[in-house]
Amino acid sequence: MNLSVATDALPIERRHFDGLIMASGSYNLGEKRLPQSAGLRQTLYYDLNFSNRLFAGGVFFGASQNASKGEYIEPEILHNPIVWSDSLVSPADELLIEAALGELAVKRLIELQSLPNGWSFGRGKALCSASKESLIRLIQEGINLPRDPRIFLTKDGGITLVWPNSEGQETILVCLPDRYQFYPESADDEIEFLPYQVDKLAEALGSTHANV
Amino acid sequence: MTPLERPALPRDEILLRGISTADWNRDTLDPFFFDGNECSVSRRTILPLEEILNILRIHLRRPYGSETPTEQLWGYALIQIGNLEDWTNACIAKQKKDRATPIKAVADPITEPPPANPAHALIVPKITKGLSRFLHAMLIQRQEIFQLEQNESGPDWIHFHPPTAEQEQMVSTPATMRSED
Repeated sequence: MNLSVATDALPIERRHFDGLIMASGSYNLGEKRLPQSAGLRQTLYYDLNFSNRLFAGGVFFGASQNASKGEYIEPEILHNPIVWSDSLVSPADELLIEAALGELAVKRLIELQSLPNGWSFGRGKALCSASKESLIRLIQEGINLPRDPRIFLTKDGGITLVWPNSEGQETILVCLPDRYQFYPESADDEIEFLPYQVDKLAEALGSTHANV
Repeated sequence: MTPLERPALPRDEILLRGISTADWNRDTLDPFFFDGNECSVSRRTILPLEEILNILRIHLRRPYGSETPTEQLWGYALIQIGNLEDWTNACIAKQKKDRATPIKAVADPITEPPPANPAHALIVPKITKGLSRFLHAMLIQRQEIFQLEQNESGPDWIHFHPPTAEQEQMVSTPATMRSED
C-alpha cells in the first residue's frame, strides 16, 4: 500500500514540522483509520523516533488520488503505534491552541497524545479526540484560558489544565467529551458544565487567572 | 477473590506509586495522580526500592509488551497506608459525604506483563477525582515525592536520590503525630 506526499500543499512554518508528518484525513491503512480533522483533508502525525526526528513533512494522499508532486513513504513507518493515535492535533488546531495556551501547551498535548491505551500502568485510556474538541471549543468560543497551563491526561482520556489563581492556589479544568469539570481551589467539589453552558464556565473561570 | 474482598494490608506499611512523565508537567504533579479504579502501587516491605523502580520503569516504557517507549519514570511518591486511610476519612468528613466502602490497600502480586512484581498492590475501591486531589495536596504538603535523576547517556532513569533516613521517618510518621510537632 502506497502513500504519497505533496510537500508544498500547506503553508506551515518549518518549525511546526519538527517531528511530524501529515496524512490524508480519512485514509485507511490496514486496520487503522485516520480521523478527520477540522474540515481539512490532513491530520498531523508525529514521528517519535528521536534519533531521526523529521522524516517527512507535507500532506499525504491515498495512492488512488493525484499526488504527482509526492514522494513515496514506506507504509511500515506509519505502523508505529505511537504515530497511530486516534486523537491527533491538526495544523489548524495546533495554531489555535498555540495562540490561546502557548507553545509549551502544544508540545505537551503532542506528548500526551502519543500515549496509547494502557498508559499509567495499564489503566489509562488514550487521549480521546472528543476531549480535544472540547478544549478547542472553549478556545473557539473565545473563553479566556490561562497562558501556559500545566496539562495532564485523565485516566479516561480527558484533558486536565492546571494553573495557579491570583493567590497562587491551584485551579483545575477538565475537558471531557461531553462536559467540563471545574475545580476552583476554594471548593471541595467540582462544578460541572455542559457544552452549552460555556458562558457560565467563562464566568466561573473569570476570577481565576494569573500568570503561570 | 476480588481485590475488594481481600484482607487489608497493615496500616504501618508504606506504598510506592510511580510518577511517570505523563503525571509530571514541568513543576506540577497531576492533581488526579491517584484517580481511578484499583490504583496501582507497590509495597516497600516486599522488594528493595531500586528493584521496584526498575520494574516500574520497564512497565511504563513498554505497556502491554509494546516495544515502543512511551512514558518514562520521572520519580515516585511514598505514602503510608495509615495516612492514606486517615486522609481519606478526613476528605470524606470534609465533603460531608457518606462512603459505603472505606478505602484500603490489598496485596496483588503480578507476573504479567513481565517483569513480575511480587510487591504489587492495589488501593480499592475507586479513588474519586475529589479524593485524589485531596491526597495529592497531602503528598505535596508532606514532601513525600521523590524525583529520579536522568542518566546522561540515555533516556533511562537509572540513578536516583533515595529518601534520606529523615525523609523515610517522615513518611512513616502518622500525619496526626506530625501535626502535633
